[in-house]
Amino acid sequence: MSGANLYATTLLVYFFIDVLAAWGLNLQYGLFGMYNFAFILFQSIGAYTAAVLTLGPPKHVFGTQDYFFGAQLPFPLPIVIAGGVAGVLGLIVALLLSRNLRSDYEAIVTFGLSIMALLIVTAVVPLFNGASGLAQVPEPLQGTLGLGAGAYSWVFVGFSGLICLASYGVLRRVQGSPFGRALRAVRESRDGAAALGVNATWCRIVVSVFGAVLAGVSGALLVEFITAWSPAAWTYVESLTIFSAIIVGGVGNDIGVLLGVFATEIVFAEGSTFLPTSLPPNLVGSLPWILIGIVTLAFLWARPQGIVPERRDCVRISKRRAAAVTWDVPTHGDFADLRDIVDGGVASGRG
Amino acid sequence: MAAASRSMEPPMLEVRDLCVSFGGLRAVDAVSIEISPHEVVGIIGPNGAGKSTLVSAIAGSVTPDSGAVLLAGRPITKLPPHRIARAGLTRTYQMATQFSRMTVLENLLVGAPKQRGAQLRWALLGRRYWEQEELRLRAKALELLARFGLAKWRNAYAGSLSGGQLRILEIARALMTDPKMLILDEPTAGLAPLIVTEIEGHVESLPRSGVTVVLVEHRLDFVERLADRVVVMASGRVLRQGALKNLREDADVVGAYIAG
Repeated sequence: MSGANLYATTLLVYFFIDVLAAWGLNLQYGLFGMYNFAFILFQSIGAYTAAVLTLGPPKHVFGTQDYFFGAQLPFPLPIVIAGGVAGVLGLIVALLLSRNLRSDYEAIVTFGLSIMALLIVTAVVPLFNGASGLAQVPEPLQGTLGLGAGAYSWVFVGFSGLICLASYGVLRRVQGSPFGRALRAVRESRDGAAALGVNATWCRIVVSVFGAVLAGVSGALLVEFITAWSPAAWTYVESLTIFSAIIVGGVGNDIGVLLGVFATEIVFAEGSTFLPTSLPPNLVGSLPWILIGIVTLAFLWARPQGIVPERRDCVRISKRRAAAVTWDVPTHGDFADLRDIVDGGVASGRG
Repeated sequence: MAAASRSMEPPMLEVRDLCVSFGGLRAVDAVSIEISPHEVVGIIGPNGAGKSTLVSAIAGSVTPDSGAVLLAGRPITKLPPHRIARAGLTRTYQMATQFSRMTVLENLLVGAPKQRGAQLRWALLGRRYWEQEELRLRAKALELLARFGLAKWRNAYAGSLSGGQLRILEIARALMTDPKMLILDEPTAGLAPLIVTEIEGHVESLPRSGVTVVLVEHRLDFVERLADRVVVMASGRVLRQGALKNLREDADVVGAYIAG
């Protein structure tokens, strides 16, 4: 397998996995305004779950890795269960937060959770092998497909791409519906939405669980692809880079977020490694982070709406159906024909 | 109250001995009010009289210590705000709570009651299950926007409206919920006279839509023109109830306003 092939497939898989995670956070933060600074924790719980369910029972002899439980479930069960476990954690976090709806409270609680979990997993070795983390996770279907490493990587690219596509379909339905509109309303004013009958607590449970499932699946895909996972992979900074991708791409717009991931993770983070540099070697390693930080600040300053802004009037109605309706409502002289306006409201989605 | 006893119908809103404290402060102290269907009642009183706290306690955003609130005979005490809204009591806020990064039309559509598409399962099943309903609600929302003179701005972001337009949007949005009862918390606070006159016209039209209105207000002239009767509050208590023209001469009422 050529180096270029390996590089391209690795980059593509990373891209799809990051997009999946960023969409999960965009549902929480972009649509609903939930400040989840523990997002990487959900990705991580998915990764650990998938790893433990793929590795088989721990051998507990000197020199092997130590972890609890352990099973060897067939593909794709570890990934599915990883999503489920992350979803349950999402539910728990939503319930933890349900005493208070304020966003500063959300930010502090989730940030604290993220750091606590990292410390616990690092310290308690029998959980997930402590700071060394889990390694040598078998790649799914590697044996049964009988493909060479190069072809196999492309299968993985296709698989993660398909998961992205399916998730996009579901997210589009949620976001383009009146339910998505209610989520946005809570983001804009919790009091105002509640006064109109929107149940903000239920909305938060939905986005928290759904976002966590996407994070968990992305983490599971990542661990099955890179075959290892350790606490170094999920410090809180990782949550912040997903926020960066959303801010650069366009808060509340999934296509924008996809471009945001491309811009931050591929163009800037990956591109920076090609820069000829005379910087101190220690700084070179941090260059991607610094660049992402600068780009995020630049966007917040010059283009806060991101590359592709959120749609104006997000509910998607088919033009055909809108045209088939006859309107029986009075017009008040403000406009000639009410039907034009409703159609216009539909057609001028981007306004 | 005379109206309530005439018919067997329960009052639209009944507040019984409602108490709210913040720490040691009794913000609302044993307040009892009855409001009949289709009445317009003003709640007036000096700053700090407890008017806004009373509204918040009725609408569920502040939990009362004791007492009861009944909407059309049904207890709504201590229900969360969204349940009270769904039960038919909608409030507006003193500070506008518009959805800034949503269009004016969308602001109204959020308020539409019992939307199928606003339920997760129907949203996931796809738009063919809620599209027809959505189009009907859009027509209704546009009709309301036209009535309130906001149709021109239907596709503008609510955040771009003026302060006065925002208060009008807040009223239109509240009507979108088909409320039985509407509580307007200082709908004219901080606005210029011209827009106050416009809002007055809109509030005047509300009873004709079959809505019972509670109007919390500072401006006595505004309340006098619109309200059938007023409840005067001071220091968390109900001081007097009745027609404002009779109360204007009342020494206690005048004293409360001057002292406040």
